[in-house]
Amino acid sequence: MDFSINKHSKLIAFISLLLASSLVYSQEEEDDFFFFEEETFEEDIADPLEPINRVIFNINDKLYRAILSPAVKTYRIIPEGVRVLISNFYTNLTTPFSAINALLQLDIPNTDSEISRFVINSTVGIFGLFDPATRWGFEEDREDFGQTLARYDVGHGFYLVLPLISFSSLRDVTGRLGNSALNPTNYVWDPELDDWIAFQGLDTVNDFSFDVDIYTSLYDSALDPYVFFRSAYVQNREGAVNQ
Amino acid sequence: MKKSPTTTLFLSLALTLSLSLGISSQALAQFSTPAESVQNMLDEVFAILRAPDFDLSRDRQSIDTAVSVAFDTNTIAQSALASNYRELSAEQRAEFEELFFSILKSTYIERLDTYTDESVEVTGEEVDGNRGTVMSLVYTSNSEIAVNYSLRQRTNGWFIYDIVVEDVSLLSSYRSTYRSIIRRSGIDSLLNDIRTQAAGLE
Repeated sequence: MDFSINKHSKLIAFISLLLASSLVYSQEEEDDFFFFEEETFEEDIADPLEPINRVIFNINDKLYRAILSPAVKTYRIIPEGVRVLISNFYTNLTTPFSAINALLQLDIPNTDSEISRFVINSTVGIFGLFDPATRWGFEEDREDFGQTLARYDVGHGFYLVLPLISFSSLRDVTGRLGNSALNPTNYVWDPELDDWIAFQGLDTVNDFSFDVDIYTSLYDSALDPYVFFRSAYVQNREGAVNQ
Repeated sequence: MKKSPTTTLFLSLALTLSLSLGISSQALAQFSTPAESVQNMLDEVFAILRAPDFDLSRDRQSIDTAVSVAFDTNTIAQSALASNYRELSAEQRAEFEELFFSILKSTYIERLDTYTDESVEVTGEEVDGNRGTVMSLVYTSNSEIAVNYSLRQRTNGWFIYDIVVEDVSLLSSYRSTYRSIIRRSGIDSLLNDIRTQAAGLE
């Protein structure tokens, strides 16, 4: 934390905050008080493996802080414009399986749009480095196999935290395996393990270079970060499925 | 371009919360619609962030002082605890409200100086009785993030009580966390944890 702030001015600020709050709320009616009383909040997701998940969650956290975060800080020497090109390149590689999943979900307009995106960006966009397709009206709408399973009413099953990969559920892990099988790079490139790790590693580090280390802030603010991120994961996936 | 959901999630939450919690408003300004309220907040925060002499450690105090004017800290506290809020005495409610909001501020204002290039566009609003939703898009160098604000109408205007980033409600995430702690070790234990946490941030 920043200790440079004068303690007294902080105290005065806080008192004025409280005064402002009381000005605002003193006029409220009592019957309006329990604003959320009528709402019910359902459970996020089944989590029978919670003890194991928590251990992996903690290991992932240490790996993030010890390896990924420092690597990302160094990596930011690369200008942002270049990092955007790299990001585009990796995104483009995954567009074919987004198209296949859109098709499996019988979403023909999006299938068409994702195929168009891949063709345009791979050619005019120079191997996917640029994204002219978005400017030409083919907006990105990514679909993955987890969303396809959800489309056919496959539930999450239960929550899973995977080593290195992090938050997931049984359904979405299955989806991830489906995605890997459909990844076009599998058919043109049969890499050695260390090449493959470098390839995936660049994607991950590049991806996180746009991030601002909010992870640690959220982690520190959450009291029980495991539950916080589990809830956020489920909400984010539900939103993606319902789109 | 959107990448993994996790990354998008982190980035989105950071960006929005930092922008939104770092608000400097005129004292008790009145805005007749939710969109006006949000737009005003965004205008002000960008004006501060883009000032040539912006300095987080210096401007933090003025930002901090004005935050509660745009946010409905009372509703935020109720929402974070849901029905458990009932179990608290008036003093405990006031204490929780104060501590929880100060934790949110400390967490997100810390990151404010990393956002200067992003732009935000308010794209729509919905009003249902005394609740409102304002839709917006945040444009970053490599993505477009959907951000919804939930607002509540009070007698003197509209106030934000939740921010929903790429379908993740900030308050729902805290609520799940707090519910789990309360279930495991009781509401007094939660209050103690929050006190310890807030003291550590001072």
